Amino acid sequence: MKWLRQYRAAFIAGSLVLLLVVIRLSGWNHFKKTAGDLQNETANQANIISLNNNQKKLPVIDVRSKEAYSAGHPDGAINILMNNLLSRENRKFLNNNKSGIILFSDDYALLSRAWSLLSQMGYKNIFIAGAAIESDEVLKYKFRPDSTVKPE
Amino acid sequence: MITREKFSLLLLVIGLIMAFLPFPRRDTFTVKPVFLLRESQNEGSFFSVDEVAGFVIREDSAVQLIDVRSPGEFKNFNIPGSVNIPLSQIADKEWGGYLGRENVKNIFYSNGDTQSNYAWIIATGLGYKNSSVMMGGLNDWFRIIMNSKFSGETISPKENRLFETRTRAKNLFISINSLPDSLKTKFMEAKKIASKKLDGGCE
Repeated sequence: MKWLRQYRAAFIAGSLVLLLVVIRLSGWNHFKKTAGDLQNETANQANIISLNNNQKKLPVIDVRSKEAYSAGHPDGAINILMNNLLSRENRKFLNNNKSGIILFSDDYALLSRAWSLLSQMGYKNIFIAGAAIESDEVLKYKFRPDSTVKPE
Repeated sequence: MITREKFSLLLLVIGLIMAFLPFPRRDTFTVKPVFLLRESQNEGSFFSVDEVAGFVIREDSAVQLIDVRSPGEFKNFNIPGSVNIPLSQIADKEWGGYLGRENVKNIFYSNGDTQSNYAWIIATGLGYKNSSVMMGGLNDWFRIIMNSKFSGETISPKENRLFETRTRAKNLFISINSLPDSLKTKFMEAKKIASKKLDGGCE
């Protein structure tokens, strides 16, 4: 191993850098997509699907509470609590359903957050559904300015 | 082996590693997924329209309302004291000064509950702390604050306080948004300049 001894300094330095790279790579870059992707994918409500229009028969995950789920849920939906969204079993479930899944809830705030999280992690074809989610961002009121207001 | 040779070999190795390193793109989330999931369920990241109305009438300087709708919608009307950062621009570095201020709570709002929460997750994912949303958005603001009426004969002190907050927020909203466009813009710009000064000229 004359060769190794000769280049020892370079070899040690090289492996040190490599080690640092490995350390940096682990525990980092959990997210595959960018904020820009999120903005594009939500721009035309492309991430929203209607349960009546589920032609590919994608599995539906109800992310509401157990009580809400037992009181009534979409046909065939399974219940996975928000808290367990990233559990080992659920990640396996997501990996086994590459053609996509639909997240369902009536809490559109949590639903948007759950969708963004999974989508940013690189899971493909994640959709969201809710009774009136298509019109969630439609303003249902009209502002009428008061013409009697005078600037101070 | 002379030192120079060793040194150049070392540089070569580092260079090769750098070349193949998958550097993350600029606006990839930096926090851990588990952290983001936990924060997503944090009750503290939600404010009701009544709480926001309270901040507005007190002109609370520890709170910054952020309207994520389009500039056109914002110009038409907005909650007094808010700034406009459209959802499509939240990830832009130039807003870092605003989003990253310490001791200031940023409250995102849109018409409903989806866009404001996309903005929230981008801000939180990129590592900005103190982000929250106004639950129910402007639809709830109109339903609860702008349409507040008292009916009945007796009113409890608690109900009275709530009703007063709503009425004052409603009157402020109407009077500022009824100003002619030119004055409204001036008012908003004055606010922006004021907050920049507070910031210590973070440009």
